[in-house]
Amino acid sequence: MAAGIFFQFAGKLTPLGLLLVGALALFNYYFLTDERFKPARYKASAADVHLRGINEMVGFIAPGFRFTRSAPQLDALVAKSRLFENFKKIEFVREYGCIAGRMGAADVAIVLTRAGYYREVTETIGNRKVKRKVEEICFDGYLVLADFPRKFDGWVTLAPDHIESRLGWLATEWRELRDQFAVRLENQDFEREFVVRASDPVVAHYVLSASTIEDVLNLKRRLGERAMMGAFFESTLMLAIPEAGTKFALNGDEPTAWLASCEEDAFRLQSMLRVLADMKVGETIWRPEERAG
Amino acid sequence: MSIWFMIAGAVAVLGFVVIYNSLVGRKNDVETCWGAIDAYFQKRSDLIPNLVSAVKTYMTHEKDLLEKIVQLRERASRSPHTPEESSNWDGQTSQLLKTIMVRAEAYPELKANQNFLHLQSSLNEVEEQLSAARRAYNSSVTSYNNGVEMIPYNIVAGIMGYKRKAVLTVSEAQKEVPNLDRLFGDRAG
Repeated sequence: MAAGIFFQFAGKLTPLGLLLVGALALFNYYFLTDERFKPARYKASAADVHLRGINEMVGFIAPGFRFTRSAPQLDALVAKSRLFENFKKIEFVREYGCIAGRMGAADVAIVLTRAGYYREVTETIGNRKVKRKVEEICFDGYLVLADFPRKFDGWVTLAPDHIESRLGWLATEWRELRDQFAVRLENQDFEREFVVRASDPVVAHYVLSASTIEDVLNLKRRLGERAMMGAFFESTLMLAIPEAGTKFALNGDEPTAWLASCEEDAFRLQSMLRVLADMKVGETIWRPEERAG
Repeated sequence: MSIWFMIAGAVAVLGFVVIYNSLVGRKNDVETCWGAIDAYFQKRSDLIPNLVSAVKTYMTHEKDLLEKIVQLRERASRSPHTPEESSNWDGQTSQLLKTIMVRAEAYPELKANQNFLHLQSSLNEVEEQLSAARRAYNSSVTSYNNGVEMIPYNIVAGIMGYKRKAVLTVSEAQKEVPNLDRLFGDRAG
């Protein structure tokens, strides 16, 4: 608008006019759009609008589900699940958002999580050597938590198998020799994709029925190369789906990019909920009083 | 030269120990899995008297069926449970239980009985656990059989006298789907 007024008076575009247009653009960029110069009231309302936007989308995909920035603390649950036990030491688990709701009789929570460990590095500053801890992220993505429709004692974990596809039966033999918890299942495709560990092989077969195996394989196909993991413990299903994308993050500087990423987030959320529905997480096959006992 | 012989001997002994331990581990896995199946058989057998007492007042026309399942349970509790022997009566018991559940559909009062509903869900649960235990057993037997037949495991297995084990197969009785027309045809007629 300011440029329009300028041309109205100047009549033609002179070098001075161009300079003034540039100055106006710069002013506009720094003082009108930069987050630092926006009043707190505007920022609060932007976050509120963003939250409402996400909730509109979540509610459209999964009626009854809501997104919140506050998420449950998962440290204890992750430790109990043994989800990351097989590949890295986990020292911190951070949650920064949660989509929660009910699916039939089950509570479902999709928690945006980052987990990792601390690594000590030594830096040379002048003549001094300074040690400091840096964060190494092992997992960044969604942790899907739901009531699993089977009641069992023990635990089962699924981790990606990077060795068997290369070494074949040698990898299986080696695993059987050194890992007392390794379990083999009858589905060859599943065996190639995942390492299954369980407190008891019968529990593993009970939890991973033929239909559940197919569901997990379908989810893996949808995710492509991403290394999905899973854990089943105390009637709880925990799926870890790595995702380095925006994950419902607020990007005030790039609202159009955020809108585009919303579409992807919606697709991922839809896929995850479809898998949970396939696994019949909302249907308990035991009575509530039995579970409480 | 003698050093090479000693190294070769040490490698052979180490290899033998590793293979021996692996085979013993696999054999023990098979036995553990069979133990789990046996425990579930027992659990199912324990539910049968309760089921019979719950349904007998309603299912007066199914006296033969109930007597048959009680006899089968008694026979099963008397005989030793080996994988080879169990297949037959396990299949028959499963089939009879399935038939009772299907016939119960014709008795609305029985279907509304809380005790029966609880027993029904317990039996379903045990059947699922039993099915998982059978799959775990078959998986451990396959691993054991691979060990017994693959080179160089088969050499050690031969020395230890280990032989192939049979996997559990679904009996003809279990494969059979209850014939609803036959079950309810008589009553309708």
